[in-house]
Amino acid sequence: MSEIFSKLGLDYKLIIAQAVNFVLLLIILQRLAYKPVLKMLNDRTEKIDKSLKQAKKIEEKLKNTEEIKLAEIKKAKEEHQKIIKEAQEIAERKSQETIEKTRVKTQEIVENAKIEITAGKEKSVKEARKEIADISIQIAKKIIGDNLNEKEQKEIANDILRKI
Amino acid sequence: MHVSITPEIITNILGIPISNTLIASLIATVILVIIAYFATRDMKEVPTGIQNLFETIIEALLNMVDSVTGDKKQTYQFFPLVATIFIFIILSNWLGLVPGFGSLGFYETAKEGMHGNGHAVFVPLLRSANSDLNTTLALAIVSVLATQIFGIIALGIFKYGKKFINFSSPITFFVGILELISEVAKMVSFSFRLFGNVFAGEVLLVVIMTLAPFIAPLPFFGLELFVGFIQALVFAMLTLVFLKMAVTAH
Repeated sequence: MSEIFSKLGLDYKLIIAQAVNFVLLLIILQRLAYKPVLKMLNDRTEKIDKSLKQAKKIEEKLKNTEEIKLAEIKKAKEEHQKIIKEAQEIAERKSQETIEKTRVKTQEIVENAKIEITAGKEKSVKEARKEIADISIQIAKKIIGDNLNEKEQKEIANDILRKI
Repeated sequence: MHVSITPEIITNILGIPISNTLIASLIATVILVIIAYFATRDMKEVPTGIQNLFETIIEALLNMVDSVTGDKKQTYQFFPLVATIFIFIILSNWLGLVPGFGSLGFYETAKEGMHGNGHAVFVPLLRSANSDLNTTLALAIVSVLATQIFGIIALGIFKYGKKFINFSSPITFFVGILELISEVAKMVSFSFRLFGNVFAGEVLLVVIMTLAPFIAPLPFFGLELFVGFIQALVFAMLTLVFLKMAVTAH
């Protein structure tokens, strides 16, 4: 057995030396390299994960804001539509009122004018009558002569007026 | 031309024989530590240069481990061992292809009992670390021991021990013995697979370079680069699978 070992160059001292060398390398690399590098890799993964999540959150927020904005715009549109409609209604009513007022006033004026005209007509008729009566009296005077006194004149005039 | 199966002992320090493969292992270790130091010295959120390369390699390995374990906790538990095995083996294999490995050295008069008795033999100063069974066996032992340790941590010593020593029925008893043998077989297969591949590659390159020193070895260098990668991957993957099996209760 030991002859085979020596033929293969096996030497327990060399084996131990190599094993110790390897274990030392393992410990040094673990302390020096693996720990910090794995930590860095983990940190980076976490950071990227966090950033991605944050980006998603921001996107969602933006979408929400957009929606709110659109809703607000819609609401504002509706409101101003309503205001315009109201204004139109008010304007219409006002103009209707004005027209009505004007019509009423015009009618009044026309009525007044009619009354005045009628009054004027009556007056002129009255006057004409009186004139006619006077003229008639004058004519009668001329015909009958100037022998009628004041009283008789009036009686005759009235009589004539009544007959006309 | 001679390629020795055994590594050449360069010198002795404090009773420890320093072989040329041990020197290669130490060089690989130092290079890795230096790279790791510079890669992580000034870590930035946005990686550049060597940090980027290092992170890419580690992330790829982490994903590989994760795909086998399917469990984040186990991934972080197994990752250091598996990653170190992969990185160390692939660097050692590729370092063995660097000019100077196997060619730089000195002549020594062979001692009694050594190959080429009495003649001056060439002793390369550096030799691909995994072309020495000591290195691969050391890695295999570490891997299999780690498997046992992780198994005990995950399942508890009694539950894990039941896998090997179980008297509940004759069948389970023999299955337990087979399991014990398979643990030893794992070590043997681990070490000989890696050693065989790398050593064969070394021999192949030496032979080709002796036959035709120019141009002809190029495709074989490419092949050895590929083999070096595949063997590192196989060693790491098998370790990972054994770890996963050990922590899974049956």
